[in-house]
Amino acid sequence: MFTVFWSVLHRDLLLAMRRRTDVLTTLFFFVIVVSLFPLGVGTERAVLRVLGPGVVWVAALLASMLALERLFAADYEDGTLEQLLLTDQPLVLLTLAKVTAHWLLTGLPLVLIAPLVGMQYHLTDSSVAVMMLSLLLGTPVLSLIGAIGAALTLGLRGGGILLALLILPLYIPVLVYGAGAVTVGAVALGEAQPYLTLLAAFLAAALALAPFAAAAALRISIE
Amino acid sequence: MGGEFADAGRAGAKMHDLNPRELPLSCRNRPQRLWLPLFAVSIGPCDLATSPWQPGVLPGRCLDPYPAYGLPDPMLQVAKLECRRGDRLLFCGLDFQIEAGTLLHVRGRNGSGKTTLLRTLCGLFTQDSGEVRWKGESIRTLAEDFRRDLLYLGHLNGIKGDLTGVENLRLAATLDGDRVGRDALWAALGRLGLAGFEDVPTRMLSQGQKKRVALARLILSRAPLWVLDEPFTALDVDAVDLLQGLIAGHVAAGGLTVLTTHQAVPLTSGQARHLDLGA
Repeated sequence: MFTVFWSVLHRDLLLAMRRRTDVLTTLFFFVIVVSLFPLGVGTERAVLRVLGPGVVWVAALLASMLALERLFAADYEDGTLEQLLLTDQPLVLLTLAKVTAHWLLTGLPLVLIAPLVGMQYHLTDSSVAVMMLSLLLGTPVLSLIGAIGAALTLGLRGGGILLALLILPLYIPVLVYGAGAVTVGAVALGEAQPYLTLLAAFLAAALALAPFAAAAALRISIE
Repeated sequence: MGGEFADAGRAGAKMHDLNPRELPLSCRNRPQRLWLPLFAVSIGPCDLATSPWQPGVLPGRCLDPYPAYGLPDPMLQVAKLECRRGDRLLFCGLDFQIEAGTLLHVRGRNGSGKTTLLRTLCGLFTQDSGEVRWKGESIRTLAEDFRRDLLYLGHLNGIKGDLTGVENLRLAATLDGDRVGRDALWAALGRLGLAGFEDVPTRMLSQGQKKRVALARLILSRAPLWVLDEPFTALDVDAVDLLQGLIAGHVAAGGLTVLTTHQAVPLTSGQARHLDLGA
């Protein structure tokens, strides 16, 4: 079973490396959105410090949604998705492998870029640390929940906006607690602990439930 | 006999006269000798003795040919199957059963439901009513046990354009649950006439070559049931002969093949069962 998980994960990473534009698009979108706000809002430190966490989290959300459409669509179009459905390996495992690959390509880079963003918004060191941690816990949740939406809207015309409508309500708790963690964490690291614990709980729930929902949605969508 | 088919094949009538259940047990597992000489005559050079497909020949691979074969007859059963696409009723009350060592050719006009039938047999499409049974049990209950015995090649090739032929084949073999060595992969692709193109990204290959990469799975597969949807499209004459040899060998060893094709190939005008949809 682990061989198959690793094979699918490796395949997705290999495909992304060979078509780097898809991955870089998401990353540059995040950077651009985050960079535009100081230009629009003004460079006053106090204002940027207050806005920073929210802006970064919304940008992470939008970037994640941008990449989600391609999660299953490419496989659906060339027939490899039906082959994945016809293996004797559990579809839940294969879905988890694809979502992991998606997170490694779109979520993890955001975590790594966070310090640069922190500099742009004049965030304190503890803020940046909390931001990285909240993104580390929150972006997998975005990928997992988004996978359900992507599986449901597979093959539909106008699927992009439908996907956004479906999963944005589910993203809101993650956004609230993620941005809240960073805002509170500016004061002291320990203050953010309840928020981070809740984010970790979201992650645990998503890891346990989302792959099953996404696998079921895939079976429905492939018909 | 039987009455399971909407319209029995003409050339296939000979095979129908022989009821496998009346044969002594030892005869059942041998290749269907009655149609073998007829088949060899009908397709000429590509007879089974020189068929490109032979079990256990691929290097680095220990083949244990079709341990599941020769077991319950019939292997695949369809009972009162009814399928709809949207509001359109494609077929209803479809009943048939096929045993080991059978080639089933599903025929019908465009839009008569051939692809839907094949996808229902695989479990990709949910029927409105009726049941598909493999070895006596419903495929919904069997789930992965059925999928382990199944190989499906649909209209779409099921290969990634950015991966090379070898990488595609290795992934397909891993998903099938096989540990296939590097030599076996290259040998399989070479056997399909892709020597020199194995490590080229498949998006650079022609349509026919991409189809050959998809068909390479047939060589490595150990699944007894093959469901092939229009496998001959885009193939040139050599590849058509090659594929016929592969399918013939598979059926001769006791496997089942269900295929649809619009091309008139000797394989399906020889000893094969026919199922006409929309008739």
